[in-house]
Amino acid sequence: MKLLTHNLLSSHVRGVGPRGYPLRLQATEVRINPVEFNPDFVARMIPKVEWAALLEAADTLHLVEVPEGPTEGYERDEKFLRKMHHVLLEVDVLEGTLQCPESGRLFPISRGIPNMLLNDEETET
Amino acid sequence: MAEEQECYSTEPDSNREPATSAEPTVSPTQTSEVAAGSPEPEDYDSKCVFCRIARGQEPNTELLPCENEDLVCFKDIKPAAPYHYLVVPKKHVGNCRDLKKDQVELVENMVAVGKTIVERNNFTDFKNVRMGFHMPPFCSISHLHLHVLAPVNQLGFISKLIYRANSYWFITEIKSLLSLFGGQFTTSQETYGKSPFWILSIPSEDIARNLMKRTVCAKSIFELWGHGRSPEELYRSLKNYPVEKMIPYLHSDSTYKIKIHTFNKTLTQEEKVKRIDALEFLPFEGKVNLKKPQHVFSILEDYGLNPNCIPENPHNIYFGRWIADGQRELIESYSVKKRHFIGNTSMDAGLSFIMANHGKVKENDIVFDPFVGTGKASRKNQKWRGPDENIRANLRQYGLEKYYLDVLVSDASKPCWRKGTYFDAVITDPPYGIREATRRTGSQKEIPKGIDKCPESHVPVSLSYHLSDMFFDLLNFAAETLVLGGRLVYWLPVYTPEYTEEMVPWHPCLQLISNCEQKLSSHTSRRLITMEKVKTFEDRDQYSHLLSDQILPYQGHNSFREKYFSGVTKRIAKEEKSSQE
Repeated sequence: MKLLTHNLLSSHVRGVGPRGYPLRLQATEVRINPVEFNPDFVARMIPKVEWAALLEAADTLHLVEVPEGPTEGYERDEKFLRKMHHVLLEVDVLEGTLQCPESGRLFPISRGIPNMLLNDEETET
Repeated sequence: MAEEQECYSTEPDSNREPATSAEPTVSPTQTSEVAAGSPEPEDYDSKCVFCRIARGQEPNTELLPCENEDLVCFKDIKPAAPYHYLVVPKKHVGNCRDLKKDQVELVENMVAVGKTIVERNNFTDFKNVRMGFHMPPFCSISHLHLHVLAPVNQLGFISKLIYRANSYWFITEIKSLLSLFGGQFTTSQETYGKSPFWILSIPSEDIARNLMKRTVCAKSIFELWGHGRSPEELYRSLKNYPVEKMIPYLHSDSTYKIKIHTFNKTLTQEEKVKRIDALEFLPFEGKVNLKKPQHVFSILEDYGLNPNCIPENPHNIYFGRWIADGQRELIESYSVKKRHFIGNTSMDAGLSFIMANHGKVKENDIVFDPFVGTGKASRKNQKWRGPDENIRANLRQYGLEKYYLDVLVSDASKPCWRKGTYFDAVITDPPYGIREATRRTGSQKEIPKGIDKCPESHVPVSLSYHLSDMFFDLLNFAAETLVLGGRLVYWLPVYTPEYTEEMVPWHPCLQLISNCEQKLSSHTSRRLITMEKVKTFEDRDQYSHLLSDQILPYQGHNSFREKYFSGVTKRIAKEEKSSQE
């Protein structure tokens, strides 16, 4: 699971609503996967990123060199884009959990795939 | 004859671009009159000479009668041809570069007025009329004006395509692609589904090439030089084609080759040679090179669609210069047969490409598939997400792993995404409930509470999931998470005897773009539905379908599984049943 995905995921346990974001990340196995750098794609993703959640997740994974926020004219700043590319797309969480901040419910990540299926009584009607 | 329109510049080496472009940009030479990017510049500017002319404030310029109230027409003060007019909107619109998609009608009106003016001067030969806009910075005046010149030979391209008998696919796919590239096209023939050949007018050769780089429905595109229903008509039409447009490809330094392609009939070598020889009257001056010619010309003969009844003479004959081929060979190289992982319902390669084209997927788009299975359509420049892991291996097989974003396991009816719009396209093939039953999570009975620790890949109890509910969930999800202008492309299974257009699920935020049928069996088919998001999602929209009457027709499809099996032989029904659970 990449950090870009984590940035978009939210808990949908019954009654939680928008307080279910962001999910707290806990990782036991992480891998760095080199991915071909595509500056246009990264530049397009920057406006969609929720920075606070990203910084929190990067922190729990002990990542260094994570930009604090989008800089002015980031579309042309290759260094900035490369750092973001690394953080968003190359860091892969293989084993761990995602925790709903409101209800405490844990979603497992196994073999790189988060399982967001809810138990029967947790589903919102 | 198809009409021609083109946006061009008088300078020989600048780019030709279509009259409308999706991106407004500021031209460097612009004066302060035109504001870039804003929806409506000032309507009137007293410093602009065209505005003054339009208001009748210039006594030296006579306004010619014009039916359209928003436009005026007058003679150019520096005519470049015996008849040289300008068609100008009364409202101050910026130059060609600042045009937006909703101004297409304005441009079309201007062209129509231009034609009327020319007709009034007894000019009916539209091959000798040229109309166009100047591209900045070659514009003299920054108020939008259409030049109408006659008689001058035309610049535009007529192009022609061969495509397979699934004609409706072809047309909708081509339309989607053309709108993606900002090209306007016009077609004058009513040959939907009746012929594998289609004549259309495309503003430039570049757009035609871009189109062919994406399409899997079209086989080839040619610049049409002449056509007719008999050889004599063809030769006459060729003689009418302006020689100046032929010369660049026929001059003595170039090499060429002529091919013949007959649709639905085979000719002997002798017959082919005869036809090629009959074209000797064309001014070919170059040398013939059969191995690697610079230019390839083709004679195309259309003998109809019925292989059991081949006529003696062709219905239509066309002659043109070959421009580009479509991507049909991708169907073979991405074929399901060769894929490393296939599932129960892997999608045919050709259809996957068509779905991607309907979705107007372009480079660096994020595409989401809520029912991904083994990753059927992840082939164009896309990024993929969805529930299953084998997609990655498939993408690796095609060398496209860098386009892979992520997968997760979830229930598509209970989206786990934070609020916002991030997907450029949602392309999917939802389960129909035949080979894979539709299910969703939910409880049917009381279960004791108290699960604190992490469930570890718990697969919850599943409820049967009615098809109509699923489509409404899908539409709601798409309406909420697509960017404006983003597209939803999905398959809708229907029971043909009961199908009506009203059954197609609707949503207040999504507009239906196309609806193409593919037959599955004698009484069932599936339809490829393409919808585009036109309105921002508000919370109350997700309940709109409950208020509408249209929910009722599709409810019947909840029993699609039963209907699918009715009237089918028992043997097939047994096969289906045994492949379940």
